[in-house]
Amino acid sequence: MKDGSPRWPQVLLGVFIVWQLFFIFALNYTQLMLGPADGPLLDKPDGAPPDAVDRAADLVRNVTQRWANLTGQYQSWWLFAVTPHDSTFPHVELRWQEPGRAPVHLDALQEPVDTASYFRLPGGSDRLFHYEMNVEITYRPYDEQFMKTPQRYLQRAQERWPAVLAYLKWRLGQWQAEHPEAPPPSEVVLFSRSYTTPPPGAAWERTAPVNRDVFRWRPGAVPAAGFAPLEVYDPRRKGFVPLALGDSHE
Amino acid sequence: MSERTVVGLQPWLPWPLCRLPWWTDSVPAERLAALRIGLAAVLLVDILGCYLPYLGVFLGPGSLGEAGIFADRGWTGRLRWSVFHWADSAAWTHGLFVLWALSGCGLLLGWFSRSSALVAWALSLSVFHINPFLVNSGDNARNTLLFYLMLCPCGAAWSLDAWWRRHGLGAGRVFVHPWPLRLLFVQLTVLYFFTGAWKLLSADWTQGKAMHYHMANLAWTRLPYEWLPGADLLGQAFDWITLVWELGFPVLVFLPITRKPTLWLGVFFHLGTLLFFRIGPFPLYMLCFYLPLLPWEGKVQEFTDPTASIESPTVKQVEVEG
Repeated sequence: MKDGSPRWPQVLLGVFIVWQLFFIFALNYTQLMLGPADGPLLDKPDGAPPDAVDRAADLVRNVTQRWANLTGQYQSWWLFAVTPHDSTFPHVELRWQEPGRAPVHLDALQEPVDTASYFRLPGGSDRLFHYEMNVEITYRPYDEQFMKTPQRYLQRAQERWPAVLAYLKWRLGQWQAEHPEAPPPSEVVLFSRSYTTPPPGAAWERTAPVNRDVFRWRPGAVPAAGFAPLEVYDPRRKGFVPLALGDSHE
Repeated sequence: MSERTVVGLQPWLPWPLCRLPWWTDSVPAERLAALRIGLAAVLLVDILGCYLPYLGVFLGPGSLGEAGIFADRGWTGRLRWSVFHWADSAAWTHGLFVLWALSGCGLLLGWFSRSSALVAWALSLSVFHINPFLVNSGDNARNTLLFYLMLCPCGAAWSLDAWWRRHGLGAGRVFVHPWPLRLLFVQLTVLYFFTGAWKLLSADWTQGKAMHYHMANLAWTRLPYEWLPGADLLGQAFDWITLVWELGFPVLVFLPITRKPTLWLGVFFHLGTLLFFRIGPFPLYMLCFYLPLLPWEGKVQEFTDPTASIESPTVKQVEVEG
């Protein structure tokens, strides 16, 4: 500064720079310690409740996350940290109640016909793939983890059902545009098809994929008060059950 | 005596930042311009190549990103704003989309550069918030880069703005205060380090199995595992190299002897992910962070006037707020 006295815009800019340095470090560190932002403050690994330090860190996490929301500077850099042991694709099946009318299977849009030979160019299909990934892996009821903590998976189903419904409507709409003469289906089911990846060092042979029901939508049905228009598959009951809109689900 | 113009507001920096030349010495404006132009080019590729073919599917009424789909359970609120919340017709959606593309063009040409950056940032963030299922970390990088560009004189060089401004300032080198480039470099360093830290929480990464699963995933990859020779060994090697490079980046990049190899490894890493994984323009956005690190000002002078002598050490500094 030429005359040694900063003007208030210069001070403001300096404060912003210092804040940004704090924000970048603080949000990354607190998320690594406490988990991704917007998540709950959990007990310590030994089961002890959060102490004052944890609550202070949670406050820092929340405040810095709001700044990230406002400015778009999300600090979620864990994309490749989670390793998917399965390759999963969303499939849709249209079902009718009238006898003699066979279900119609809508293949996954991005599943390779030959798993040993395919090539995908970059483009908009990459973003569609991200959408489908979020839709169909949101609820994987067959993991061992599900049986231990079913509430966590069911909560994700409660969070994501509007997006799943939009996806089912879109797939149905595409099919109906190609088949305008067909009556509307009575059920639209989203199921996942999973290919398990052989572990490293094992014989390289992909086993046959496994299909698992995830959501069911009945286009003509009116859900009961407090329940979503979608039902979710519950492996404990081996069938679809209503999906409550509230925080609890049984 | 050559004239040197410094564009932009000089920040008041507290100790110890005010004592560090890295934070106080102005840098050639071409470095910031290279970032602006590179980011604009990638943004336009993203808008026209990734979003436009699926516009009606991704955005607007009746789409996968219709306002309200993500309104519940905290996807909105908490300051996750979007102008698309008010786009209640396809016409409005298309209009905003065209405006988004035009802002990318303005940024590329350096026409009302900061305003273009502001519009590009606002609409990029709006698309991000209205349909968060489409995004990945590359969009975090995009939004962050645009945020900084709108706050700094990104049109100080290689722009229509600079061409108009030169008529008033005369000839001479143009410089900018370094704070946006320094903050972005800090962001890049922290990004890589914590990316590695998250991986340390995964047994697959610490046991050298992670890249095997990633490269063998049928959904995430552009080509099959069967096409990769020595994939098992390759995967293990990539695991360890990735962990060491990411966790060591803050140190490796500041040591003179390891700086260039570290940065080049980053370039190859991102080009590799562009080739192998379906993560859209994520690698291209990340490579934008590297653009200000190159000595563009020297290369341009070398190209335009190879016989030009080294700048006289006696300079006159004129500060202009951009």
